[in-house]
Amino acid sequence: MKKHEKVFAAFVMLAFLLPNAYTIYQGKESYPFTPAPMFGHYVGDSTHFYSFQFTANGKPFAPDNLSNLMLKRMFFDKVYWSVDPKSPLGHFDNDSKPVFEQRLSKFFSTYVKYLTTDTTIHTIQLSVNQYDRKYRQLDAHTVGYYNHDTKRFTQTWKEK
Amino acid sequence: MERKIAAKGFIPTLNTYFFSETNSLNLGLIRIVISAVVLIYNPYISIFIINDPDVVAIQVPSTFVHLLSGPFSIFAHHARLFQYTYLLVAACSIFGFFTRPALLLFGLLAAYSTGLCASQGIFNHGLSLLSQVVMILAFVPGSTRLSADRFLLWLYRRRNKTHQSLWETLKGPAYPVWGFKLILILLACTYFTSGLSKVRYGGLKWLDGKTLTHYLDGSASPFTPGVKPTYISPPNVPESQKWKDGFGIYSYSYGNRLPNQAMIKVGQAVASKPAVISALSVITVLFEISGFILLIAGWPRTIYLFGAITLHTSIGFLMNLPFTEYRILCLLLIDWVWLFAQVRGWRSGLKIKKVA
Repeated sequence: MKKHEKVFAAFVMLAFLLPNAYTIYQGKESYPFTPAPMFGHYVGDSTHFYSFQFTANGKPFAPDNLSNLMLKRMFFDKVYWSVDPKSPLGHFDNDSKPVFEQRLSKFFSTYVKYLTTDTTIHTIQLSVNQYDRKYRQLDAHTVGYYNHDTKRFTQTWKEK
Repeated sequence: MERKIAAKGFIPTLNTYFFSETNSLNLGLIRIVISAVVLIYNPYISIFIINDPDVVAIQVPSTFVHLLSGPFSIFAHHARLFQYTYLLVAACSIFGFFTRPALLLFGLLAAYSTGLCASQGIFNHGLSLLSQVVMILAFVPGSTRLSADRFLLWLYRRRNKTHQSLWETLKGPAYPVWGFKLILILLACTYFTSGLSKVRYGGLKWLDGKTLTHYLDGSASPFTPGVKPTYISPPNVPESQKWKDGFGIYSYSYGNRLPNQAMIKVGQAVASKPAVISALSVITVLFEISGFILLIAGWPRTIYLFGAITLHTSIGFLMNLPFTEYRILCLLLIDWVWLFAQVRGWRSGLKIKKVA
C-alpha cells in the first residue's frame, strides 16, 4: 500500500472510532453513537417505580397519561430530564426551576394540540406517582400546573 | 486468508494487522446483506419527518442529525422525494451500482432517519451500528466486490478485448483488510460498552441477578396484568436531587416484549432460581466486557461471534428482543472458509488415525 492510502485509511478509521470512543467515555447517548445503556440501571427489591400523571378537568388527560412508548421516552429524555448526573439519558448540569418550567411550558403548549382536541381544557396538572417493586402505590406528588390560556407551566412542588 | 507479512515491533505489527492483503469476498457480501437488512428494518423513513418547528425544537436532535439537517433540509417538505431517494440508493448499494456514492448516501439517510426517530423517543440500537457499517463500506477497499459496477467493467473490457473472466472481474484484485478490521473494532466497542454500562449505571450489584429477574419474571411485560410504571430511581436519592417532584427520577426502565405466555413462564422459571439468574448476569457482563476478543483472528473471534449469536438468540426467546441485525452481522464476520478448513483438517486427521 502506498503512504497516502495508509493516511486515508487512518483518517477514515479515526473518523468513525473517535466519536464512538468519546460517546463511550462520556456515557451519554447521541445518535448514532451510544454507550449502550439498555437494561443497565439496577432494579432491586427496594427500587422505586414512577409514573407521570396528567389530569385535566378532574380526569386523566390522555389514556394512561403518556401511553405511547415513544412519547414516554421523549418526554423523559428531552423535557423532564433525569436528576442523575451519571445518566445516559437527558441530564444536563444547567437544570433549574426556571429552565424546568420553560421546558414544560414549551412541551405542553406544543403537544396539547396533538394530545387532545378538547377545547374545554384550561389547566393540566402534572403529578408523579411512586410505587414499590410490586407496583403498590406508595405516594403521589403534584409537580405543577400548565395553564393553557397563558401557555405557562408553574412548578408548585417545593422542598420542605 | 490474510497474507501474513513477517514483522516485528509495534508499528510493523499494526501495519500487518490493518494493511495485509486478502482476496476474501466478505466485504462484498457484507455490503449486499447489511444494506438489505437496513432497508428491511427501516423501510419507511419519511414517517420520521416532522414539519412543526415547535415539536422539532422540543425533540432536540443529536449533534450528528443536527449537522445533517442542513444539507437534508431539502427533504423537510418533500417526504416522497426523501423516501424515493432512500429506496433508490438502497437498491444501488445492494446491487452495487455507483456503489460508493450510493453507500454513503444510503448510510447517511438511514442514520439521519433513525436519528430523527431517536429524537422522537426510540433509539434504535440495531440500526445505529448498521448504518455506520454502511457508511464505512463507502470508503473501504473490497466493498465493491460482487457489484453491478464490476459487471459493467467486465462488459467494457470484453468490448475492448481485454481478457479477464467474469468471476475474476467480479472478485477484483487483492485488497488491504483495514475495512473489515474497522467493522470488527466497532462491534467490539459495542459489546464492551454494553457490558461496561451494566456496571457503570447499575454498579457491581447488577451482578446479583435482580435486574435480570425484573425483566424476566413478567414485571416488565406489557402482556401481563396490572399497571406497569416504567420510570425508576434508587431508594436513597440525595435530597439535593429531589427538587423537581420530591422523589428524584433517575431513568426509565426497559420492557420485555414477549407476548407468548408459555415463553413468559419459561422466563419466570429461570428468574425463580437466584443462583442461575446471578450466574447468567455475571456471564453476560464478562462476555460483553470481553468484546475486544473479536480482534484476535481464528478460534477466539469465531467462538466469540457464535457466543454473541447465542446471547442474542436467548434474549430473543426470553424477551422478544432478538437483535437480528446484530446476529446477521456476526454471521457475516465469521471466517467460514477458515472454519470449514479447520473442520476438514479435523476430519482428515480422524481418518488418518483410523487407518493407523
